Amino acid sequence: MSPATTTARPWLNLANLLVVTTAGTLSLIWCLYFTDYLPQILTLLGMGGVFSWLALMLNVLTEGRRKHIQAKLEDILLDHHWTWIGAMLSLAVGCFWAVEHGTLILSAAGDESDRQVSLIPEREVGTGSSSIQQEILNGRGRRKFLLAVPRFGEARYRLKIDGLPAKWVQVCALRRRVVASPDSFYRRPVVLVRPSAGLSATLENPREQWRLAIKHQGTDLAQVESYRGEPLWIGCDEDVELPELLLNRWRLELASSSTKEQAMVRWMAPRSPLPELELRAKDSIRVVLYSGTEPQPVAEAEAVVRPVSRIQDFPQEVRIDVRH
Amino acid sequence: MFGTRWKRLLLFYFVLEALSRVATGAIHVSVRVQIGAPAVLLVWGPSRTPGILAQVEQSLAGELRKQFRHWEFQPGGETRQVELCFRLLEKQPETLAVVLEHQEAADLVQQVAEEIWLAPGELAIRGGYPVASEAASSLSHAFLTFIMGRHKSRIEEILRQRVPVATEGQWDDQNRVVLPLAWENFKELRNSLFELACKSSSNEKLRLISHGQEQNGVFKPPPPNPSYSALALMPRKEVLPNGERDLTSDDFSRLRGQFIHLLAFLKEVRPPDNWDIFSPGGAP
Repeated sequence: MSPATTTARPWLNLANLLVVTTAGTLSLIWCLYFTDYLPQILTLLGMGGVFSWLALMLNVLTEGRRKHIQAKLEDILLDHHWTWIGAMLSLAVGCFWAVEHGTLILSAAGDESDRQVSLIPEREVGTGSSSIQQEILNGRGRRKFLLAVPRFGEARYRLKIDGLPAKWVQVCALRRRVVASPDSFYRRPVVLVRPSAGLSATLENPREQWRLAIKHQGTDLAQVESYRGEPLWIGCDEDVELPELLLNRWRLELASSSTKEQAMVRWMAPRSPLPELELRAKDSIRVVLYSGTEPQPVAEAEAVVRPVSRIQDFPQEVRIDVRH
Repeated sequence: MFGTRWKRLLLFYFVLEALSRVATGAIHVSVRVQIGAPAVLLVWGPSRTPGILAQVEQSLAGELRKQFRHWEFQPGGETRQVELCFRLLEKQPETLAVVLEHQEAADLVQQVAEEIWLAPGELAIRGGYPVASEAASSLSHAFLTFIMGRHKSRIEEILRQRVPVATEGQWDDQNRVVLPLAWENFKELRNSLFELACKSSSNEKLRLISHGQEQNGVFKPPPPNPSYSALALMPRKEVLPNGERDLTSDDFSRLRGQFIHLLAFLKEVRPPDNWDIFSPGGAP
């Protein structure tokens, strides 16, 4: 520090010091609270990481020369008005940027598997946009996602984790939203339509054409052509894993009808004709199976969507079978 | 034992009643297929089911003709007097059974055979319900394998007891009854045992045990049809409720005068005493 300048304008030195320190500290607090980047930033500030070479070079310098450089830098930083102005401007720009972002925290405390996470803004769902954020969420890990929102507003994102049903999350500016994986993903109404073991085997026969019509609230929603007896997800993606509880239930059902477990193979790869459909409790779902061009249904099933209060309730299974 | 005898007599009565309306010729056994499995009907659909059933009936009638060539079989339910009804039943969900029933009158149905085609749990691992495009072949195969393959002797027994091979006959001058069965086709029955069910114009009924004859007779159909060589039978005994009685020459004169309606049942196939000598490479 140059004694001449510090004595000449001590108030300026103090103001610069205070503003720079405050701005830096606030930035680090924001980083800590809203992002996962603090460890990297601290590494850089401590001249670790890519700045390690700089630290090495500074150690090469003699004590006197290093002090000289420090004094020069101190002069530049503390003895000019543009320092505090710059710091304030940076803080203002940072705040301006921060109020347009919110944070989504994904906690995979209950999940052993590493999974890919993708986040798509609501307005870009189905557009094939490149603004999809894709990251890996480690098993039992926790990850923060900084997401753009309207200024002081909120935005909806489609949060999709491989193997789990997609979920819409509302992210607010300057707020953190915590989502637990996988539990919170299962707490939404999803219907799984499954043919009985015998019907499933029948539908697998390639010599007959089958089609399945899906109605939601009495309205035709989808026609599954060339249906081959796979289970159908209604309201979630194809890649959603079948819960172990459900598989055990199927095993019991097969055992009770003396059917070998190999029949379950047909049920292991569900299709998803309506991945984007958001079901709500008390919605009605009707599925009708037709054979070839026959106008009379082969089988049909209807269900009222139940609210999901426990993970065990996922998914709501609708069994379709021919009348015996 | 007593009950069974009365049941047989009752059946016999119904057969006579039904067949007395038949003018001439052999009885055609109707071969029908019924599906008592709603699931299967739903899978096929109402527009395709009649076609499938017709195909299966056709196939089964053809196979029955091959296996039981002394009787006539006709697919479908046109002639209602005697019927073999092949049924597919779903005994419990996803368990299919094949059944053969013999029906002589609307209320006289007798189950001949029943076999499980697809046992519990098999449906899901053996391709499910037969779909329409292959239903005819798989269903025919099931009936042939499980019913006709395993219960052939039982079916033959039913046919011998219930289905006449001829529904008329003519007395010749040797007190023989000549059946309208062409000698060329039926001479292998010339040593077999028959039962003639006779009925008089006054509704008197009689059953006669008769033997096939080595010498053919001549059957004379109504003009302008020409006469032809036919199988002849010699009545030997009358069947009574409490046994059998040998026929005498007096009986024949009574029988020839009174008994006009006649049914000939094949009771026992016996090979001829002297088989025709086979001439290799040429006609005899």
